[in-house]
This record gives sequence, structure tokens and C-alpha cells, in this order.
Amino acid sequence: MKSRSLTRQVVGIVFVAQVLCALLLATTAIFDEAHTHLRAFDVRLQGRSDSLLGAIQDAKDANSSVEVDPDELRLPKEDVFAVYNFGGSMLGSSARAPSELTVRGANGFRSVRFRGVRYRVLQREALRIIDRSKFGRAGLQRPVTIVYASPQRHVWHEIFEPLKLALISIFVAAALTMGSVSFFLRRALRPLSDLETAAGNISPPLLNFDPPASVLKIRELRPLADVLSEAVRGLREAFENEQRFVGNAAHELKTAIAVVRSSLQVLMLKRRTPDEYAAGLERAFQDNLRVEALVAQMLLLARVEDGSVGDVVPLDLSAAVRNVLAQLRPIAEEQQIVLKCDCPPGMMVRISPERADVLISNLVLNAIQHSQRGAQVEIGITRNHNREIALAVNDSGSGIGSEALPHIFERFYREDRSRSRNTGGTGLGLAICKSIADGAGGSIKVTSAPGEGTKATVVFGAVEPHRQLLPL
Amino acid sequence: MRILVVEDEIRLAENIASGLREGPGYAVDVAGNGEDAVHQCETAEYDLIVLDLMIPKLSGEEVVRHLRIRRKSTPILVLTAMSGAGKTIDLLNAGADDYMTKPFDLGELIARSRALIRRSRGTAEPILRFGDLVVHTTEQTVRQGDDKVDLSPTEYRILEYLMYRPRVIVSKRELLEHLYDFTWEHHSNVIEVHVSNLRKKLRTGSEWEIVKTLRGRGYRLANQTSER
Repeated sequence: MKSRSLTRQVVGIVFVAQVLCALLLATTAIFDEAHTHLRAFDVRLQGRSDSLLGAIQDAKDANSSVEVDPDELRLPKEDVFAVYNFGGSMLGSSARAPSELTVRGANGFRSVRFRGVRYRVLQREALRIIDRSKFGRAGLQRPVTIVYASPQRHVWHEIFEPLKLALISIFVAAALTMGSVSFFLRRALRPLSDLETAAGNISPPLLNFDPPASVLKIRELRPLADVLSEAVRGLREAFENEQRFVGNAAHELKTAIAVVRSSLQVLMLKRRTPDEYAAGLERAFQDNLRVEALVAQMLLLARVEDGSVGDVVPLDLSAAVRNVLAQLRPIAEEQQIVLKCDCPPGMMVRISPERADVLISNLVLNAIQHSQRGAQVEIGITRNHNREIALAVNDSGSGIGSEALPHIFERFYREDRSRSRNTGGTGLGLAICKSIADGAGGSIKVTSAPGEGTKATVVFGAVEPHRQLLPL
Repeated sequence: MRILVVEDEIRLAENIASGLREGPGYAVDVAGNGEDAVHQCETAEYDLIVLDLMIPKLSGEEVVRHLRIRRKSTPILVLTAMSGAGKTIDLLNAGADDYMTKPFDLGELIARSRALIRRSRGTAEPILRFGDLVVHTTEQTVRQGDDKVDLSPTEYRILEYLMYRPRVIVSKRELLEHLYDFTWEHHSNVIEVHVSNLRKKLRTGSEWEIVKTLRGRGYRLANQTSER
């Protein structure tokens, strides 16, 4: 995916904002200036037409032509004017007055274009006094219309000239702002590259992440650093757990192999009698069986821990328990242990039959191994008020110490290794049980009182009634 | 020589003990966890400790540190399933003397045990000499001058122990403790018989005896020059 530069984006936004701001300012200024200047221009135009009127006020008769020398009046050279009598005929005009400069519409100001040049035109009425000597002091008053025009380009020049300077300063300021914004932004984002370095250093086996102080100081970045720390810690724990498992597995396997090897080497240390050889070989064979059991358990654990659930089918748990108990009875009888089963029919759970067998036989075997001769192991299946099905295996054996209880589901954990060796335990049985129970969407719990016995309970989620009706 | 084997895997402990008993003829005690190991080291004098690293209660590493803090200089041979150099370095730095990775060779374990004991007794050579006596510790043979001396295993072990500490008085108790496992007290009467037999077999041709009994104090190897 294409990545965008935050710095560029921010600088761009700042630039656009400044330009818009400048344009808005300039437009307002132009409107304001134009208004003021045009009004002043109109006042000036009025004044000039007044001067013109003064020059043409006295006349011999009503229709005598107007002759004015603009130099004498000090009117600007580019100004043009024309004077008309009431009848509409021209009494006179300035030298370069265009023919379009006529009386038109109402009196007042208007803007007109003559020969491609914009003019401001003032059309006004005035009185002309005819021949004071003949008609007395007041004279004969005759109305005339003055049309006076002056090009507007000076006004626009006056408006834009100061604005040009302001616009240049605004653009210089914008450039400076962009530069400094970019600089400060890069500086503000530097903790991100510190974070990048720290995150880049996360690697096994240490899996260590120390958020840089520069990152922690920034409120916006702190949550990110915290989330990263948390994630790395979780990873580290999982990694350490796996490493511990691999270490333990290596230790168990190597020890088991060391036992076989040393058993054979003890036998070979010196010449022995045939009976001694036979006994030694038998022991070595037993040691080898333990290696096999350990490897089988490790492979089984790997299989149930790989996240798969096996071939899940609706399974009659009671039937499965009875099946397993039939297989374990000879072992129990050898130790004079009675297996008591309270398993009502129709207890359906969803689990792979193979895994259910492993789960049940592991729990029952544990109970047998920790029971005294002549004791009783009770296996019960019940349905609780949530329609969940619970399998409980109860023994009255030695129990589990309170400090060992939290660890019993850990892989390779054994409360008393010297005893578990005698019973053939590998320390993986309960870890396998837990993994199977979790995989089947259930849970497993062990309660125990030392000297009184242990109760292992597996709770399975209920199977919906319509599924229960499915044939096995 | 008396050895403590610290190993929680009973079968392995049994095999190591058998190997050390049947091979060099050491007395062997077994401890199944770290706490027992420390306790046993406090109550008895061992000539070597064979220590598994992954044991319950106290780890092997903790046992090593514990013993070294208590200024016990007993050589320690560590058994480990790990083969990482870092771990090994840590162990040796903590005070272990040697290590072997599982699965190990029992013959090698016996040879290393012998070497560690020899070193701790201040000799590098597997042959011990005293006067005209020569004891070959690996072959477990004894020669006096040009003659081969035929000793029973117990007599040999008594002589070997005394040869490591020539001219020093070794008490009967010390001798018992180092030659037998925790059952040593049952053997206290027979040791005198063994010493007497040993003395008879080491003929000097004169009134003077190589294995001298100092009544109430113990035994000592002595030759004519040192007697004077």
C-alpha cells in the first residue's frame, strides 16, 4: 500500500488554509478600497463638473456655444465633457469628447466604456445665466445638462497598488510558516522514530520492549507505547512458556533415554550371572517402555494442543465412560480398587470419541494410581441447571497439596516425581485432559484435600435438544 | 570414597549409584530433591556430588550456590539435559566443577568422578605412591616394590583413602564415613578387621608397620623416615 507523508499533508493543509485566508482578506480589502476610492472619485468628479459649470455659467444668449479652455480650468487632460441645452442640442464639448457622450436616462453617476476605456460619467442639470446686463442682476436663467466623464483606471491603480504589497507579504509569511511547520512537525515526530527503533529491537528470545522516554512524554503516543508493551509482554510470556515446555520436554526425554542407556551400561560393567542378565534386561525393557509412553504422550499433547478438535460428533458420554471403565477394570482389580459408575443414559456431549476416551481414562487412571488398596473410585455424570453435562471422578486417595494444586495442569508438572515414576506418570496427563476439555468447549476443574481425596470435574457445554435426537 | 547422587528420576539414580559402587567401589547415597541434598551434605562429608540440574524443591543451581556459600569445597559434577553454553558457563561460575549432558555415558561419568576426586585430593596423576607402595587408582591395583598385592575391595578402598592423605591421622569415623554410605555405623566393628588384614598383606619385613593404628585417634600411613 502506498504510504502518505503526514508532514507533507499537514504542510499542505497549512498552505491551503493560508492561501484561502489571504484570498479572503484580499477580496474584502478590494471591496472596501474600491468602495472608498470610487466614492472619492465621484466627489472629485462632482467638483470638476462644478468648476466646469462656473466656467460656462455666463452666456450671451440661451443657445450660445460653450467654449472652455481645460488648462485654464485645471481639469485633468484625459477628462472629457459635453454641455447640452434643454432641447438636447450640444452647446459645446471638450476637445477629445467622444460622440457617445450624450444625455441619457436619469441624472447621476454611471460607468460607461468609450473606445475601450472605462469612464465614470456624471450627468447633471445646471442653470446658465443669460446676459446679466440685459436682464438685470439676476439675468435670464436657462437650464443646461452637463455630461462629465473621467477614465476610471487611475482609481483601480490606486486600489491595487497597496494591495500588491500586502499580497506579497502574505505569501512570504505563508512560505515561512510552511517551513517552520515542517521543521517543528519533524521534531515533534522524532519520538516516532525512537519508537520505531525500540520496536525494531523486539526479537526473540529476549522479547523486550522499553518504550523510549520521549514517547511516554507525549500524550498522543503513550497509548500506542502502552499497547505495544502489553502485546510484547503477552508474547514474551507465551514464548517463555513454550521455551520452558521445550526445555522440560528435552529434559524428560533425555533423562528417559539416559535411564535406558545407564541400565544397559550397569549390566555391562562386569561379567554377571545369567539370572542377573535376565533381571537387568527386564529392567532395561521397562525403562524403554517408559520412553515409549513419554513419546506417545508428548505426541498426543501436540495433537490435542494444535487447535484442532478432532472428529466432533454427538457422543453418549455414559456409554463412553462404561467402555473406558471396562478396559481399566483389570488394572483397578490388580490394586483391589472398586470402580463405581453412576452414569444415566442420554447424556450427550459434542466431542471426538477418541479424545473423550483419552480424557476419561486419564482421569480414572489418575484416581486409581492415587488411591489406597481396597479404596473406591466414583465416576458420575450429571446435568446441571444450565443443561450442561458434568463428568466427575472422585477418589479418596492421598490428595494434592495446596501449593501443588495451581500447577497440576502445567505440562510436565509432577507433585512427587519419585512417586509418579512408580505409577508411570509423565506429568502430561492432566495437561492433555485440560487441552481436550478446552478444545471441546468445556472446562476442567480439580479440587482436593490432602489425605481426603481428589475430585476432578469436566463440564461440557449442553448439546441442543434437536441434536440430541440424532442417532449415534 | 563417598558420593552423593542427587537425581529425582529413581531409575537413573539407581543406575548411577550401581555404576559408582560396582566400578570404582565408592559408597553412594542418593537424594531425590534439592532440599534433601543440602540436608545430607550438612550431615555427612562427601568426596563428590553428582547433581542433576532439574530437581524438585531446590534446583541444582541453587544447591551448588548453597553449598559454595557454606564453604563446602566438595567437587560437584552436574548432569544437565541442556547443552547451551550460557547455562554451562553460569553453572561453572556458580561453583560446579564439571558437567555432563544427558544422555551420558556411565563409563565416562565414572572416569570423570575419579578425576574430580583425585584433583580435589591434590593429585593429577591416577597413580598414588608412598614409599615402595604404588596404587593404580583406575585399574585398582596395588604393588609393593616389584610384588603385586592382592587386596579385597574394602581393603583397597581403605588403602586408597589413606594414600590420598599420607602421614595424616585419619579417624575411624572419617574412614567409615568416606567408605560406606549412610549405613556406615553398622560397619564400625568390621573396619578394624579390614585394617588388620590390610596391614598383614602389606609386609614390611620388619617390626615397623605401614598402616599404623593410633589408639583412640585413628589410622595413619607411615614409613620409616617419617617415624624418625
